[in-house]
Formats: sequence, structure tokens, C-alpha cells
Amino acid sequence: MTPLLQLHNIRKDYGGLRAVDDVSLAAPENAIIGLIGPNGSGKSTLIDLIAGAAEQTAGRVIFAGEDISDLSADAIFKKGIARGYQEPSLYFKMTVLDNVLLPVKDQRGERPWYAPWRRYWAHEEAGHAEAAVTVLEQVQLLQHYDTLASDLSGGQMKLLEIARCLMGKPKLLLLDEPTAGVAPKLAYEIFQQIARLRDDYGITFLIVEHRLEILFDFADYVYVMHLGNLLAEGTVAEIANDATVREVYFGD
Amino acid sequence: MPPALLTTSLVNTIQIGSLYALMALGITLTFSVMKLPNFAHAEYVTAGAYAALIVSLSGVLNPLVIMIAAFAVGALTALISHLAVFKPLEGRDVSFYTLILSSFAIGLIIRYILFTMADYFNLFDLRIAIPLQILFREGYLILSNLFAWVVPTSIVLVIILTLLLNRSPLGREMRALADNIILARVIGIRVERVKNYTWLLVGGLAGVAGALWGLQTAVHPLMGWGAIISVFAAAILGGLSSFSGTVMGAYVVAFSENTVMLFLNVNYGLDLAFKPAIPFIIIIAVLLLRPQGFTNLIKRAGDLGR
Amino acid sequence: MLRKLLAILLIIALSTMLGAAQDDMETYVLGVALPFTGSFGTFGQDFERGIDLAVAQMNAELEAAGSAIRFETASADTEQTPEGAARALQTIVQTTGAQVVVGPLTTSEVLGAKQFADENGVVIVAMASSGAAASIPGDNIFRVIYPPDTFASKAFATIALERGHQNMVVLYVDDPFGNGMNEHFIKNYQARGGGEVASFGYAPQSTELSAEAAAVSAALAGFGDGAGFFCVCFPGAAEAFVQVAQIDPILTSVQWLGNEAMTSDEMLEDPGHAQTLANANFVTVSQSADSTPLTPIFHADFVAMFDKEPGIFTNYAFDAANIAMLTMLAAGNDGAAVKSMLPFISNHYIGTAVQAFLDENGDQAIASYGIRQVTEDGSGFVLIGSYDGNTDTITYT
Repeated sequence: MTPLLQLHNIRKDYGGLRAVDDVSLAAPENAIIGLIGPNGSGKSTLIDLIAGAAEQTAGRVIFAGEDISDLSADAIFKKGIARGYQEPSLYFKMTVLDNVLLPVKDQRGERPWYAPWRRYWAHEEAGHAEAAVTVLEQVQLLQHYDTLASDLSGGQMKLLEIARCLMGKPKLLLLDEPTAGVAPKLAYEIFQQIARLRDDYGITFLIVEHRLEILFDFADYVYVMHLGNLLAEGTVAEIANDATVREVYFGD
Repeated sequence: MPPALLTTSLVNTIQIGSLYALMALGITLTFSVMKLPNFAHAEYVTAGAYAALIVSLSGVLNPLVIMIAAFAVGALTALISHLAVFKPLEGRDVSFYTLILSSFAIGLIIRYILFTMADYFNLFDLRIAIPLQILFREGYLILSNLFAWVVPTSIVLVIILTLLLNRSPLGREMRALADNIILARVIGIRVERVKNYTWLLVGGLAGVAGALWGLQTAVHPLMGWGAIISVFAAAILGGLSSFSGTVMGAYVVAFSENTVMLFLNVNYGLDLAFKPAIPFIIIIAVLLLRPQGFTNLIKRAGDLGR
Repeated sequence: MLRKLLAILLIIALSTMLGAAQDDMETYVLGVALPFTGSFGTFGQDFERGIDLAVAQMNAELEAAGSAIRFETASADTEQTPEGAARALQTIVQTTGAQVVVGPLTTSEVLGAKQFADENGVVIVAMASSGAAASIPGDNIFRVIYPPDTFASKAFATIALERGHQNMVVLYVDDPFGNGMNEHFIKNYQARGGGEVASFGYAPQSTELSAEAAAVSAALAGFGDGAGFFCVCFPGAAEAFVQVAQIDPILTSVQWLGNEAMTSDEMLEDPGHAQTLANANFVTVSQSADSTPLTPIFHADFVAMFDKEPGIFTNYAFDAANIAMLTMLAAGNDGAAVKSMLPFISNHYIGTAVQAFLDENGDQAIASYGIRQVTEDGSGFVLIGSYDGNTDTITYT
């Protein structure tokens, strides 16, 4: 079976600086892939390249058998790749439900000639709201649907971000430190949700994470980056016992 | 202050305030969603007024048809100015000040296109041919059919726009653009399309305001420009971000220009020629004392925030 | 580098050759300072056409006569403001060296341009300004066609008293023209036995006059029966005022007087406005521009040249340009000489509107006015009498 996502010899130069050097990786369907490495090792840049937020200097990105290397962020999103950020990027002045409904495309109520007349789009909106309810249920935020996003806890904000990504029915979710700034207990819960989404909906996750103790409990496969290079890859057990990784990463 | 004067000035306040509100909401909306203080807004008003005038001169006196024509022409003028000027400029990532200046420039261009047209067809200082009548008279209170048109139309349009913004999917996206346009792009909102729709609404409302303003005064290429400072004062009172604040601001400006002005004239002999200075005083006072205007004075939905 | 140098040399060579080719011709520049933008923009544009017609005709005559002199216009926009007028004059003079400028339109613009004209010896020939504020002896301003408002204000005062108005309310545009008219009206009205006058100035840029209408109405109500209303307004504001005044119970029950700018059929286009003015026995006083033998010729020539009808007062601009050019032909292209000779030429000029005869202020001294009233059905203005400003007498027909 071909992997869902394949990176072939990706390179990214910023001026004279090589942020990512010849990285190749593959993510199978229905898996949680960890991407770890010290600060500045090029993990976030790699995420940007995949999502189309930056353009690689060389190399190809293959998604579901299709070359998406040169597509715009918008087009990549449409192909089924969604991403979350380290800092929760939400519409804090809107309710949880509104935040989840925002990415829905091609609604009648988006047209100015229909928008003022509720009856033309209320039915459609109800359908979207149903989908939104399902998604919120998946991340266990349903009881907060009418809360302003700014009133959520840090962990809930992360979950809301994931829920918003799910509205686009993605096949692959790129998450950049989903537990940053979140209490350990909540961080663990976030990963539990992620695992459930993988199991119940077959979504693949590519997760940049510093909290290895949590990541290692959930990840199916781990890539380690160092100074823009791929240092090692393997299952959690393999990585945890890899001498090179231990040296650069854990300093022993 | 004689009771007749007080009554008339209050009626004028409501009537003119409603028109200011209709014009000022568009300014608030463009500022929030597009981050653009658009001085060409005045010209969308004038374009709408001329559309209404031409329709009425062609013999169609159905107010609804006149309004729709004014809406369409105002909306189209706004959309064209966006597509031809503002959008390419935004693409070049120019500064805020360049955008303000370009809004002045495009306003001038539209104004002098209208001037040329008005000169060619001799359409100066004409009035939309709906005769003015007294509908209601009780003591000092006199209400005309103009009042009956202007006030409900404005209020209904303001309510529709508020609902659209707060309840509809389009409004949700407009609020998202106002709050964080980069995130809007990231989560796949079709930003350019939402912008186009916003321009259509802004221009359309300005056009309708122009048609109604043309009933209040005479239609002239400078009529929108003549009102723009008062309208900006109203929007600034609304903090350029709050719908309810903008509507309140519109009535405050109209109240100052009518009732307060006449009160000062009657009691302290202040010259009526002072009237155009009032919106400037309001603007300066707001900027000095309360730059956020009425925003957050009453916390509520409809604030587009910044 | 070499290319640039060659290009510059080429341009210099060409321009000297062109200059040489025209050497035997002498060009007099006639400045034109008018409001091409703003609410009087159409007046300005129309007036410029009148001036262009005069210059074209003059050049054709000069050519036929074998004269070496040609006239050429240099125009600038006054933006209908005093500062704009000063700027326009300065631009014209500094870029072309013009000694004589036709325009500007309103009294406030004329006064704005005055200082520069006096200091630089440039002669201003205005065609329609009438504000009393610009009646100053010895300055460089000549107002050759329209008499100053000191005359018209007397006519208004007399009519108000003849109509039995014991008190008057005045709404005036707050600029030198409106202020002067208001001031002289009050002076003449009270000198002739009139009572109290309440005056309200509106800002010239106003486009919406409901507060003003409310104030006028309240003042009229305060005076009670027998009070009259005098409106000194520019066209746009006049329309906006009538628009809101037509449902005012007080304003629709008194008699109105109006300045010459309101003597326009456009004021009567709206049936509601026409009815309001008809009910108010609306009377205006404006210069009687009796037709001379030249009037129809001007009209025909204008239509032939521009394929459109000349606007109101356009022939005044035509006449002003002719007086200026004739004086330049007699005195030469020199401001001081033109200033000295202009009254003489002007007094011997019969134009398309009215005989010009200048007083010691350089203003039109022949003050002959027509008194016009809106017909009962509001269909138009009819001449009901005349006012001779030189003898201060009104004659009703």
C-alpha cells in the first residue's frame, strides 16, 4: 500500500541558510506520525512546506498519489490537508460553533442576495450545524458550543482548532505542538482525542511535539530531525533506544 | 427655544440621522473588513442618487424601483472601485496611507465622471421627482412622506444588515475577515469573494442612502462629498467597528447639527454657518477623549472589533 | 550620456527654430481664472467657452486685418474658493506672464485674488461678481458688466416695504457676497422705515438646509403677521432650502424675496418647489440684460462653435473678454496701461448684454434691474417692473 503522504528529498533554503536539507519521509494512512527534534531543526518549516504556506527549494510532495508540490495553500486544503498552529489561531470573539462553521464552503447563505433572508439558507445551515455538532462531539466540546472561543481553556482551544480542521473532512492533519502551553493532564486528553480520531475516522496525523513522554504513548512512527536533516526514524521503541537520537536530543 | 423649533429640529434629527446611519454603516463595514477608511464612499452615495434621479426622470416613480436602481448602481460603483484600485493596491502590500490617498483619488475620479455626465445632460440640482407631501400634522409636529420613506427604509436596512452580519454565514465570514484576515485565508474562507460581496453591500447601501438623500436635498455631483464629514464623524463615534455605536453616532451628529445648533443659535446667537464645523468638533473630541467611540460602551454583538 | 546630451541639444535647437518661426508674431496672453470644479464648475466651464469664442473671433479679425498680434488664453481653476482664486491667478501670471485676467466668478474669489493682482500690477476683469465688498476705488479690479449689490439691496428694501413687511428674516450665504447683500439690505431697509431684521447665514458648502429652514421659520413666527422673507442663496442651496421649506407651515404662508441667482427656471422644475414659490409671491431682482443687436449674433456664434446653448450669464464672460482684449490692443500688453485705459474702452463698448459704464470703483455704474415674479401657476418668471438704481426708483409695468 502506498503511503498517504510522501516527501521526496525536500530542501528549503532561506537565503544562505538551509532550513531543511534533503528530507524524505512517508506517512501511512490511519496513523499518528511524530516529528521531533530540537528547536530550529526544521520541523515547523517542513509543516509549512507541506501545507503550502512556504515553497520548497527542491523536492516533491506526494499526497494520495498526487504531486501537490506546487499547489497553493487553498488548493492543498481542498485536497484534504488541514493544519493547526502552535499558538491557537481561533476567532476569539466568536462562539465555538461559529468557529467550526466558518470553513464550510459553498453555502447559499454566503451569497449576499440570499444572506439577509434566513429561509433560503436555514435548512442548509442546519445540515452544516449537524456536521459541526458531530465534530464537536468528537473532540468533546459540544457542551461549550455557545461559549466564546476566548472563554475556553488552553487545551479546549487546541481541541477547537482540531475540530475546525475536521470540518473540512481532512485525510491528513498537520499539528504543530498541539499541547504547547497546556496542563499535562489536558495534554494527555488531547492526544487521547487524536488517537480516537485516528481509530474512528481513519485520519492521519503528522504531529510536531516536544512532550515526548506523551507523544511516545500514542505515536505509531517517529521521525527525528536535527539541523535540517533527518537524523533517525522508526517506531517509538526504536527511537527511544537509538543512541544518536539520545545524544543530540537528550544530551546523554 | 420655541416649541415649534424644538419639534421641527427633532424631526429633522431623526430624518437626517437615519440617512447618516445608512451611509456611516458602510464606512464602518469597509473599515472593519477591508481596513480601509474609504473617502470614495461619498461618491457611491452620489452615484446612487444620480441613478435614482435618472430613473425618476425616465418616468418611473415607483419608490421601490428607484431604490433598487440606486442600490445596483451604488453596489457596482463600489465593486468596480475595489476591483480596479483597492484590490491591486492591496496585492502590492501598500501602506495604510497609500490606501487612504487612493480612496480620495478614486472618489475624485468618480465625482468628475458624474460631473461630466451631469454637465452633458444638464443634471444639476435636480430633485428625484417624488412630490413632497404632509402626511401627518398635529400641533407643531409635521411629518412628510419623505420622513415616512426615509426613516423606516433606513431602520429596516440597518436591521437587515445587522442580522446579516450577526446571523448569516456571509456575516460570519465578514466578521472573520474583520478579526483576522490571515487566519481566514488559512481556514479556507474565500476571502476575495467575501470582500467583493462586502463591497456590493456597502455600495448598495450607500446608493440607497443617496436616493433618499436626493429627496432631502438637490442632486448634485458634490452632494455625497458634502455629507461625508458628518458621516465619518458618525462612524468615528461608533469607533469604526461597532454597528450599534455607528447608528448612535449618526443620530448624535444629526442632533448636534440640528437641535444643538439651533439651541446655540437661539440662546447664544451662534451663527448657523458654524454648522459644518460641528462634525469636525465631534471628530476631534472623540479622538482626544475617547478614541474607541461608543465601542464597548454597550457590550453587544455586532461589534466588528479590531 | 552622449545620447542624453544629443537629445538635449536637439530639443534646444528645435525650440529655437520654432521660436524663430514665430518671431514676427506677437502673442498676448489673456488669463482666465474661473471655478471649473465645485458647485459652480458648470458656470466656469460655460464661461470659458464664452471667452474662447471671443478670442477666436478676435484672432480671426486680427488675422484678416494683417495684424501681428494674436490672443491666447491661459486658464486655471479657482476651485470656487478665495485661496484657490489667489493660487489660480499666481499660476497664470507666473507661468505665462499674463497681465490681464478675466474672472473670477464670485465676489469671494475676486477678493481672494485681489491682493496678488494689486501687488503684481495684474488687471482683473470680472464678469458677474456683484458683492459690495469688492467696490474699492483705485484697485486693479474691474467689474464691467454686473453692477454692485449696493443698488440691488435698495430695490429689495423698497419692495419689502411696499409689500408691507414690518419685519424681515434674511437667509444668506455666509461669504462676502451674501454678507454684503445682507448688510446693505438691513441698512437700506431700516433707513427707509423698516423694522427689525433677523439674519441667518449658512455655510457656502452646505448642501442640506433643514436646520436653517427651521431657524428661519421660528424667526418668522416670532415676528408674527406682516413679516417677510428674503433668501440670498446660491442655486444648489436655494433648491435644498425650498425642498425642506415647502412643508413648513410658516414659510409657506409668508411672502418671499430672492436674489438674482434664484431667477432661474430650474428653480421651478420641481412642481412642489414651483407651487411653493408661486404661493410665496416670490419676487427676484436681477440686472436687466436687455438684448442689444449683438445678443442674437453671440447666441448663433456660440451654438455654431460649441453645438450647445450658452448658459445663463455666459455672454457676460464673452463681453468681459472683449473689453479686456480691446483694452490690450489699445494700451499694449502691460498691466498698468491696461488699468489706466480700461474704463475708457469699457465706457465705449456695447456688448451682448448691457452698456458698460464704470464708476470710480471700477464697477458697472449702470444699475438697471428687472423685477420678476413667479406666475400664479408656477410655470415661470414674468417681468413685473423695473428698478433704476441710478435714480432709485421702481416702475411697475
